[in-house]
Amino acid sequence: MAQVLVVDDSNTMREIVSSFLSQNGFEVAVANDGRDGLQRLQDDPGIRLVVSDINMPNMDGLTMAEKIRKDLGNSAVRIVMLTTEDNASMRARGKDIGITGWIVKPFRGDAVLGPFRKFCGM
Amino acid sequence: MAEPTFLAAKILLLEHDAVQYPLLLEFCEALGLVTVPCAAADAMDALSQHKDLAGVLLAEDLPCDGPDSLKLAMALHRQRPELPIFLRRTSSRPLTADEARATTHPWATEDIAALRAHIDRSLFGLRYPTVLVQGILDLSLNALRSMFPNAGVEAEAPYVVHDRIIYGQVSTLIALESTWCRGYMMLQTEEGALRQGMAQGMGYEGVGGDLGFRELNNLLGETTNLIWGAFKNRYIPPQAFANHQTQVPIVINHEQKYISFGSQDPQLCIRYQLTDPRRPRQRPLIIVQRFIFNLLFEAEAFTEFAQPSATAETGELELF
Repeated sequence: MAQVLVVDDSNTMREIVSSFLSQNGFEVAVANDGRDGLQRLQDDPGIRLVVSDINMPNMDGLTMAEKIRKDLGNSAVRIVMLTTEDNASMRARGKDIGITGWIVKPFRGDAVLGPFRKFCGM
Repeated sequence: MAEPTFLAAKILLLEHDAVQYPLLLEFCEALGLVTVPCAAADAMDALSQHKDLAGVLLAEDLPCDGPDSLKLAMALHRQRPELPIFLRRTSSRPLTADEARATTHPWATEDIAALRAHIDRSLFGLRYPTVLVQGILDLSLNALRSMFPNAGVEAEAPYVVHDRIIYGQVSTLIALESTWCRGYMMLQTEEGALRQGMAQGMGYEGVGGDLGFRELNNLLGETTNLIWGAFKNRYIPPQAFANHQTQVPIVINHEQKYISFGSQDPQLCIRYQLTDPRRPRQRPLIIVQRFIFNLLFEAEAFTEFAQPSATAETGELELF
């Protein structure tokens, strides 16, 4: 069972984030777009944190987050967007959806380790 | 290797005249043109060597095989038609149509102002504001340094090119669309050098080792994405995203004849064979058609288009 689900269409980003989290004691699952992420989350009830990109093929990260909250009715899982996007309207949409946090890429592991541990009850 | 914003350009200098040569060197330096001097015999080699040229300065009376350098001008033009050739005229003979096509920027020896005007128009015709160039440098350096945290990353002086030659084997391409610009950004690199750099540990901890070409493609793709994101956040206002269309980098590896549209989904592929009925034994011509729905494909939403609609027969005139 994983604790963190990393959703990104970029292999490189998935590897950067997941290898950092694994090295720091997290159990990590990965998905390559929002559609895949939604499926992984349904398949693994242990996931407590979703770290997701926004711009992805098939289903973007915000749509996935919306479906997690509305379609799956999952309000417990923490959702953090890890994205190059920084515009106010997207952030506002994220807030409306009920996401937990927002990180503008690039990824800096040391800046997120504390809160991620807290989200996962570590 | 500072981070300047003065736009330069690289020029092939084919000049032999003892008076003109130093004058032109000085002239180029004042304009920020980097000169690559060479003899007529080496011109074609120099062209293949320098794939980032902005133009060619050529003397009409440059010692060549023929009576003048116009044959060379035409050869240069054939090889790289995108490069403007600034021909220093030393005779008054009219140029033939072919010669005129090759040397669209002739100037008389005593008229350096004409050369200056040609250069301003053709090399620096598109003005890139310094603040934009500096901004692009800043955000690109940040992105590169974050993707290659264990590498020293510096920028050379920005310059303009007319060449369209791809550098290296791996290229990425991403659309940039704002209220003020529309176009693409490309990143290009050498696969072997990128692999070597990663093996040497330039990248993130845990990303490296002996990477295959797909991993290298992805790495350049993500670097592109980071720069694009920063560019977008800085230069593309929300109103430019009226349709809010998602983009992902397209990665092309010419060495491997490989192109990725960022999606893992299977592509619809149809092969067509075209044969010559008069030569049935001849190998058919194969045309491969592919559909890559990399950003969105919703089969459910397609159902409303599934029924054939009443369309006019092709080729017929439909009157209203």
